[in-house]
Amino acid sequence: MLRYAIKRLLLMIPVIIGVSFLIFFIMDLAPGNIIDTKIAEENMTDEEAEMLREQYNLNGSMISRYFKYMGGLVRGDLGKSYITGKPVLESYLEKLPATIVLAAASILVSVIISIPLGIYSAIKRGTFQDNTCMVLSFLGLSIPNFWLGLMLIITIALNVKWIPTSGFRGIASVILPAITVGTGLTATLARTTRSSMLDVLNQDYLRTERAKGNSEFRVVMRYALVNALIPIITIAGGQFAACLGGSVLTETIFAWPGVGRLIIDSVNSRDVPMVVGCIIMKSFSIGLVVLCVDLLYAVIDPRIKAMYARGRRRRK
Amino acid sequence: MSKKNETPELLVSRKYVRQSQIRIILHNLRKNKGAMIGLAIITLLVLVSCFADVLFDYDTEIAGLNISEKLIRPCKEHLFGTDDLGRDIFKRVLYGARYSLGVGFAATMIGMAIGVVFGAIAGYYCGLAEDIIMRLNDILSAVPSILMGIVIVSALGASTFNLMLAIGITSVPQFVRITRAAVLSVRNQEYVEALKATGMSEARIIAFHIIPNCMSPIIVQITLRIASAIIATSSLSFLGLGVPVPAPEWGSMLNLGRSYVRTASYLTIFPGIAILITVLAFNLLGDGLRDALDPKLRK
Repeated sequence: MLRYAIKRLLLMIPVIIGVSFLIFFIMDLAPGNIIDTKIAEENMTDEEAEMLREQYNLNGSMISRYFKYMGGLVRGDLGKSYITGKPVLESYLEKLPATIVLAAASILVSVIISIPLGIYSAIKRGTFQDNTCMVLSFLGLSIPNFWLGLMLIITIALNVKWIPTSGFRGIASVILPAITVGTGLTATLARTTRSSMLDVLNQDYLRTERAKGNSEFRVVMRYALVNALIPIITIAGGQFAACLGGSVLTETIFAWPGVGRLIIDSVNSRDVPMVVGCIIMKSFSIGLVVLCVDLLYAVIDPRIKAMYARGRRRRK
Repeated sequence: MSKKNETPELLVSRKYVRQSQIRIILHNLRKNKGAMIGLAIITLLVLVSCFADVLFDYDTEIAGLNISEKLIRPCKEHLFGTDDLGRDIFKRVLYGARYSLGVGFAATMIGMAIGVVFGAIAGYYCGLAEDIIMRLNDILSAVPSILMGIVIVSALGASTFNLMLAIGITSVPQFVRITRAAVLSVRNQEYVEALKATGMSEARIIAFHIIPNCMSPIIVQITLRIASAIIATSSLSFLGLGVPVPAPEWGSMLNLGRSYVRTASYLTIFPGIAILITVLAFNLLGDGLRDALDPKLRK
């Protein structure tokens, strides 16, 4: 299993090199650069601007800047922000906790809503209740996230005093952003729960459990749900990873001091090292979470653990 | 399935043999209420966006100023109220349909055109070509799509065409993956071998015989991607990176309404509902199509 994990981590390296090149290339196409921003903002003289250009190697070609950057990257140096001069990694880690809190809270919201919904629909398959649940989950999929955020601000935050409309101040401030992001995730998760439960519910061993006198609730929760858990965890894990990627719009609406906004601001000010660094860190953390989820299977499901032990791996 | 039911079902399936595929699919689709509602809404929206210029005068009604009527609450004359420049929100929402539908559709077509070609190549020629395409695909999909869209639009400049391009590029990976999977499942079938034996060129086999047989997952994907492309369009416009003002794109209307959230909430309510209904329609249709096109679910 360790070998598998290491292999997956190594496979991430070419992806990260590719991502950094792609973003570097696109940012290079952008009209205007950091010097223009600074000249406009700070009344810089031509000489100072020229010095800065030298310093950031902006007179050289994009390729030479890229290789210089990659030279730093292999030594674990993500570069320094053009604007603040702070190391990119430091700024990123500063913003990361807020994003993690939001991601965790959103997944919590999503799981709390969608797993009971999915189980209920699966049990009541084909009935009116089932259809209603699925239409509801569709609605969750179709609501534009940022609009839901605005609606929550209008209906709740402006009326309920103890829920702030923006910023990251205590538990109460997490509620609205988490609902905003979380409801967007419920649709997929509820549908996965439903179909995965449907696969399990007709199996013979559940009849055995019922025959043994277990209550219906216990049969569903203890025996059916546990066996239906793998696809649910896959989706929930993927969603958590995507949330770590930052919910750019939700963070913008709620003035959430997370990674998403850091990237938006850096894109707008053409702070190339910051953008590239943050996106690299993001892709890396997404890959890491997905890997962790894959490894989690082995913990949950003894069959998969046995598969790792034999050293065999099915090709996805 | 009990034995009693077998006979009528066989009869039904025999009847189907004489029908064309498209008729079977339409028949299945017609039974799905959600999909039909979705289709009706989409048809209506398409009509509105086609005739938007006939219904409204862009320069005066949609983009013109009318300060004397600014920020009127929803009433009989202005169903959805007016915005800070006195423009009627109802008319703007209707007119905005053409931006969302147009950009959503065009972006998805760009994504599909690129994605299907590379996906088919990857699926048909295994080996080096597949490896290269799939690795590039991994790289493209490693960046969250909204971020990718933001980076591309801000690099190329905010315009409607660049918006389409950006959203199109972000939807490429999905199409590559789906096309490849579909092509993999048909490439070893006998009819392909027969075509090869007749000496047909491989490009021709892929274009005229393999891709048409892979269309059903691609069609479903197109419908669902249009839904997410519409959300992406309005998201980017909301951030000021989409269709330039004063065009009444729903996302940029929301962005404008954001400053008036406390005083004039109707500015944000209606464009959002428009997005919601449109996206819901495409999602319902896509879901219905998926069921209708799936031979396993056919009864």
